[in-house]
Amino acid sequence: MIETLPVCVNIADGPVQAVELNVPDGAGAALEFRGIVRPLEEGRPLVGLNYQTYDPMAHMQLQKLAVAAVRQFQLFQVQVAHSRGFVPAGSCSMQIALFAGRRKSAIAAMDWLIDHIKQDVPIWKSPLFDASTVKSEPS
Amino acid sequence: MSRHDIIIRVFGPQARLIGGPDIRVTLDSAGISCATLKRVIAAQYPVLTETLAASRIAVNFSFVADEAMIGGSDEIALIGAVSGG
Repeated sequence: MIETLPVCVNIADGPVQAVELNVPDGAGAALEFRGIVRPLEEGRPLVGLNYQTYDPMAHMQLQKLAVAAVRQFQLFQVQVAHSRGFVPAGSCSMQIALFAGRRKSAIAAMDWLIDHIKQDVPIWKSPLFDASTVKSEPS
Repeated sequence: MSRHDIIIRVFGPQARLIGGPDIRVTLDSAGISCATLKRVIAAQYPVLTETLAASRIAVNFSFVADEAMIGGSDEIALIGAVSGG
């Protein structure tokens, strides 16, 4: 029998359009995380971040991690969306939603998943600073 | 012994260091391990040396162990420290 895992992963251009969550039957805890591009980087105003993804490996890694989280923490469902390309400051670059039976497993799963995304998914960000704040080199 | 070139994709800060999306390395033998490949990259692209300790090799879109062997038709990528999220 083919196992259908309750995992949905998406990488798309631009800011993540965060979606409302539909709570699956039986879940006792729903947890959502949104990563937002900060307006400052090292004290300098930031226009936004450019995200480079290695496709399709980035999608495959997100899928593997989401499946691993479902199995390890007995989750009902995991949804992960991540940006590719430019995301302006203040916008969402990643949304994770997960559903568990209990609060503790939901929180532990979210922490585990974010840590592993930041270690094992081939995505790189580079800052785009406000040109008016770039320091000029001494002549 | 025949020498041949392989293309390795690079990304993010490492791509900026070498000024392009891939590198070409020349190998003395057809089959080498990923650990050997990293040493060859360091020798042929010294600018990447500092970043290689934190880098992994992906073959056909999956991370592989240092002892894994690389074939001629594989897609090979150097995955430096990532920064998603």
